[in-house]
Amino acid sequence: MRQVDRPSLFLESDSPGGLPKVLPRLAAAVLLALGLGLSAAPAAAQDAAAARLFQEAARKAEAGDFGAALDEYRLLVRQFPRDTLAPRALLGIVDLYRATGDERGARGALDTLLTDYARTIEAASGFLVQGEMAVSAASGPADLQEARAEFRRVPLLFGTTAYPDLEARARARVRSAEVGLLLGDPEGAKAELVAAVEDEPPSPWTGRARLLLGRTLLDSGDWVAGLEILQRLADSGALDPDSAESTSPIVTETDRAQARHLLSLAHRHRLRPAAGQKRWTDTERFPQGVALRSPSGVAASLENGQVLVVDDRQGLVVLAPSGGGPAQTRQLEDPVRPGFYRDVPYVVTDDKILLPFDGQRLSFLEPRTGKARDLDDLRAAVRGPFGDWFLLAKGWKSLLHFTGPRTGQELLGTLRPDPVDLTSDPLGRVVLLDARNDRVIRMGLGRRAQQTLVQGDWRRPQALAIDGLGQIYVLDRGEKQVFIYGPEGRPITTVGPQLGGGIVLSAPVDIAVDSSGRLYIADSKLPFVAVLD
Amino acid sequence: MHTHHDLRPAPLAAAGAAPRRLPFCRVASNLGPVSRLALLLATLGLLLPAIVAPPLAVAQTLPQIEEEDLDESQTPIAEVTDPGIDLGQVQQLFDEAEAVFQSADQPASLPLFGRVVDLLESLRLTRGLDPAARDLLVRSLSYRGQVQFNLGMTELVDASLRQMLEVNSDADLDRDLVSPKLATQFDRLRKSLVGEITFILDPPDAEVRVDGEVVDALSGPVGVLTGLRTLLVSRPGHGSIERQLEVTGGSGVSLDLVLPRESAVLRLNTRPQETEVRVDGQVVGSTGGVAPEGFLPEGAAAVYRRDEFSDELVVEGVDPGLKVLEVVREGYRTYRAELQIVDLLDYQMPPIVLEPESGKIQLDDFPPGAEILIDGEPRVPDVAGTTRPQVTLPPGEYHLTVTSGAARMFSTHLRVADRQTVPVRVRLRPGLTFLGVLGADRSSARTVDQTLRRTMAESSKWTLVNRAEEGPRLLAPLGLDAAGMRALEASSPSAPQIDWRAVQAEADRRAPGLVYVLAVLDNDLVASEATLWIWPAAPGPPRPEKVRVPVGDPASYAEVRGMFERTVPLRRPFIGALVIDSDAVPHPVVADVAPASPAAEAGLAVGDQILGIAGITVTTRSELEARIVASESGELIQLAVQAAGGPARTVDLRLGASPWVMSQRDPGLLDAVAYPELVLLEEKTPREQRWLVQLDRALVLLRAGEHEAAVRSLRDIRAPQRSHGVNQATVDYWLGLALWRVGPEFRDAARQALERAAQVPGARLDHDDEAWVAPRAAARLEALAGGG
Repeated sequence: MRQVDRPSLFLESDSPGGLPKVLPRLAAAVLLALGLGLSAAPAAAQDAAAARLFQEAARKAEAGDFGAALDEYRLLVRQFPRDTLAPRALLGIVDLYRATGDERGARGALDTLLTDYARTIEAASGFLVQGEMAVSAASGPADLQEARAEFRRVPLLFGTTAYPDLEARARARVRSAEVGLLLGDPEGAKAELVAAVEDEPPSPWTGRARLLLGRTLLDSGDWVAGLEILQRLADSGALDPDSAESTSPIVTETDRAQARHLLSLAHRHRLRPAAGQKRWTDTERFPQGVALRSPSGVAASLENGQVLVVDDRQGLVVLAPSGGGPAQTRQLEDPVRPGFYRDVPYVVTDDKILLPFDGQRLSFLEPRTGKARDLDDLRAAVRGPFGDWFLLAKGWKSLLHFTGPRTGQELLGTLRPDPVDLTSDPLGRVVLLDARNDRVIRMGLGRRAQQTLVQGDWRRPQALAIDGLGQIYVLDRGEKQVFIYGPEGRPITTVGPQLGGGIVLSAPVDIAVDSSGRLYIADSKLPFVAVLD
Repeated sequence: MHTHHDLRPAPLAAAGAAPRRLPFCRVASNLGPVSRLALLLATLGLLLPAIVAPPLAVAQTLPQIEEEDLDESQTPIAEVTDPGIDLGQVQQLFDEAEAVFQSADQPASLPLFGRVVDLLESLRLTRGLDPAARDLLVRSLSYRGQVQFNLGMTELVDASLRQMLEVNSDADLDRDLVSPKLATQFDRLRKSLVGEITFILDPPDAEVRVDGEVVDALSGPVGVLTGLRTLLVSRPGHGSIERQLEVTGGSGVSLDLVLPRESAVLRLNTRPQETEVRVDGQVVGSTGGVAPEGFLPEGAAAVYRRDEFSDELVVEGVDPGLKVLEVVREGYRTYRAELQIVDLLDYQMPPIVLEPESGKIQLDDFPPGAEILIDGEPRVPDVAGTTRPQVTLPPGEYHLTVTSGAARMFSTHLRVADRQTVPVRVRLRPGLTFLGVLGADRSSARTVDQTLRRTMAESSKWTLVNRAEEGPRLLAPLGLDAAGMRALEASSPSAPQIDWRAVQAEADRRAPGLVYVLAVLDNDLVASEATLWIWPAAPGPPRPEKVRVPVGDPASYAEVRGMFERTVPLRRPFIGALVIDSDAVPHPVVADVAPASPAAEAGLAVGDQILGIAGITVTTRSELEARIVASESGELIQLAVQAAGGPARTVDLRLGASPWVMSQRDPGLLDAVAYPELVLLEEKTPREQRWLVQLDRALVLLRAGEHEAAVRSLRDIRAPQRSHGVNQATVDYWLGLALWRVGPEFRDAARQALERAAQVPGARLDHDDEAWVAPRAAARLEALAGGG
């Protein structure tokens, strides 16, 4: 298993909003790599003293001495206001304020940057930061609209003719498109993505734009054009997937991997049926080399091909590659349901959320006033688009939303649903399965509005999954079947109870879909997880 | 009666003597044309020894001579420093004195003549006088004597006349002008001071010197001042006679002298002057001076002027026998001749012309109308109007450039050796003009300069024109200096505003090429990287592109060369199917088949796996594409295919030919390089494919922000009218974008163009197997509608 950055369990300061899950980390990497960050050596300082100040500030910031770094940056701006490093120092100040949680200080420095250095390329980065701050603080569509407006300023103020090589513009277009998709504006998003792909110099952001454009075209039914773009992205600079040398530096491996996943899903769900083939042609048993007694939950990462299985009778957690390979196991008390945030596995237990391979844990206070005790009887949990947590717990006929371990609230309480499972869609929006009303609901960005995606007729809906194409999978424990719907709720097909290979479902409890569309079904009466491939 | 034999300039026949044929004369085989001509002339008897005089044996009649030991004190030696006298001024002073003499105030001329006399005497004692100056002194003394005579200064008259005779013992007064009394006084004085000697010489043209001064012994008796005089009679090829003779005033003696013949003599003039002459390898003299009036170059030498030849060099001491004569001068081919010297005679060589050493450059495949530059200077070929002109050059190293307009150049460095013809095949290529390196780190600048030039010199596609010396000087007035360029690269607020159109114009005018490269070091002290600023000549877009290279990393420069080597292909094979990879299967899968395409005709269907091509298994779409791209349009390829759930089968697919639009964002392709290449490409592209080149050019302009120029180009393009692939809808798409970017007043026109593009669902953006136009056009329309 490759090393990954361990995100904190709660709201992450580096997260611009948990949209497509790779983005926050990518954004940070690009910020440093492309000169917007603070560690890069100054290129054209007019004054050697300014350059020394800048380097000293960057060194101190890197060493974690934020206060001293702030002083150096401030001194630079004060002493050398006309130096090319002054606006970069202001960006450094903004970053430091944000790192220390001082939003007000960050906004002050941004104002100075955008007022006094309005035509510098750092100002373009300033608008980007302003947009990211707005996304982080967003609590609904209006806030996102505001954030999008900040992003949109960059291409308007920093056009391609005057600033042909400005990478911040491509990033702004992509971020604006991402927010636009969240806001339900795929056409506007496509316009921005096409501009990013065609009008901007190549960068990781143009690669990202191609991924989003391909996906958006698939979503809007323009399959062939979408697949063509995704295939080109998957091919970018990589004739041999195992060769590090052949990977294009301007397309991230994550974007290429996601493109491959979408292509695989399209093949399975589009091309095979068109050719009269079944979506899944084989049935396999998972994991290999680990004996299960009663699997109670399964989850699949869309990023790294890992699958997490929970066996509540044994108190066992198994992490293994979807295509086969050595598994890792952990013993846990009362494991209920597994999940992934980005590519990091977590397990919902009776009263907390655990990173079983990292040791971190998180518990929540009951949201109702006056009961200062930890929430228990948890059923499922998923992280939302803004880094917040959504939980289901027995006895709570509502969706519980936590923006902090102690700041929770009930959603959907008035509808009296019976939510039994929840997950997130490709854009990070929360979707839950309401067993009482036989429906799948997607939460609006404002937390209160919701949209019914699927109205079913199930006997005992138990689990929910959504794949990279937005297709919805509902496990009906009563029918011992998996019902599959298109993103718009149209029934597509069903699976079970006969799975092939002599496997028959008897007590299915959980489902998951991996990046290539394999369907995992955990059945408590089977000593393995059934995999449809 | 004295016999005078004029040795020059005429051939000896003119001297009345029978020409003598050189019995044997062989010229070394390496002689040039002129020398060969001399050989021919020699063979024909025209290269003749001069017979100076018949070997008369005349008995010497010695005068009465009282021999005395020479007394050194009698030698008029004066310690006079060179007064630095200007003879022109002396002549001027004389003219003034003469004018005064002829005026009413004749006595006033006395001091003037005195001054002239003093000056010339001073000169005579220091460095001697030439005949003209000597004559001027004599005339001055004559005038002075006349004035003194007229003033009754009898004693002074005698002094002047005496001095006059001392200067020239043959001097005389103009008896028509002077007083008879003065003439009588002069004659009396002369008689007391001058004796006469009559020389009868054999050979008659022997040179006679009296006290070292050459006298004319041929014209009659020679006046000699009284006293003990030293006579020296000599002639080349003869023994000399030296005698001392006491001359008394009014006496007349006759000397009959016969000089014994001792050796043969060669007489020669050379072109050029100042050559070294060798006989049998021994240096026997050097030619110099200028051939005198009367010298007439003849034969092959007649094409040259007299003053291009040296004065005659007389080589004596030549023994009879076979002799090798060599005339040598650096930069010229050595003249070499073998001479058979039979008799002890004088041999007059015909004028010897040394040919300059030279080689030739022969230019093969020389295009009509092209210009030749040798080391930057225009040069007319030896014979113009041929496809294989030659240029003759002295031996050395040269930088040869052939240009046919600014668009095509050929440049090479070559070495020319004497008598060598260097064949050079002219391959005109686009000119890449290197304008030098900006930045004060001289060591790094040198490294960049040398590495870049060395690397680009290996280009098979471009001709590097090195203008590194003058480039920075040309560009400085336009604001292109190291600091400014760095600020520009860093998008610094202090960056200068550069008018790149003016830069283009200046470079086009002063250092023409198709593409320009200027290197800027990142640091003036210790540079580690250089940024190469690259821009095309007009009408290419006036926008530079930048490539950064480590100062001393040849591999990076080779990558840059690779960017210049890239070609702009116009066609590529296509199959007409969208093939994708899927993790669910081990081989690429057909996702879409275009109607009436090669794939459709071959029977490919959606869901088919492509197992292999031409017998080679493929596991990814890019492997398949690589095979297809490596094939030729029209080629029949075999695909191993497996339909869903069916058996594997083999299909034959004939590859189609698709237009190939230059990639929009190919990081390895520089617009600055592509544009001029497209200009050249358009000329040699068949008419039916030119629209594609025009589209590529328009796209370069569009990327460079030259929106109006892009619109003008795009509007004229007529692409094939077809429903699928790259077609007119592709052009409309880019036209719509270009119009949009020109300004808001063209938004309607932009929308119409984009709408036309959006309505052709089969249209592709850059290749018949690749990106679709319609969804992009729809997205652009959306942005247009949203005011983007």
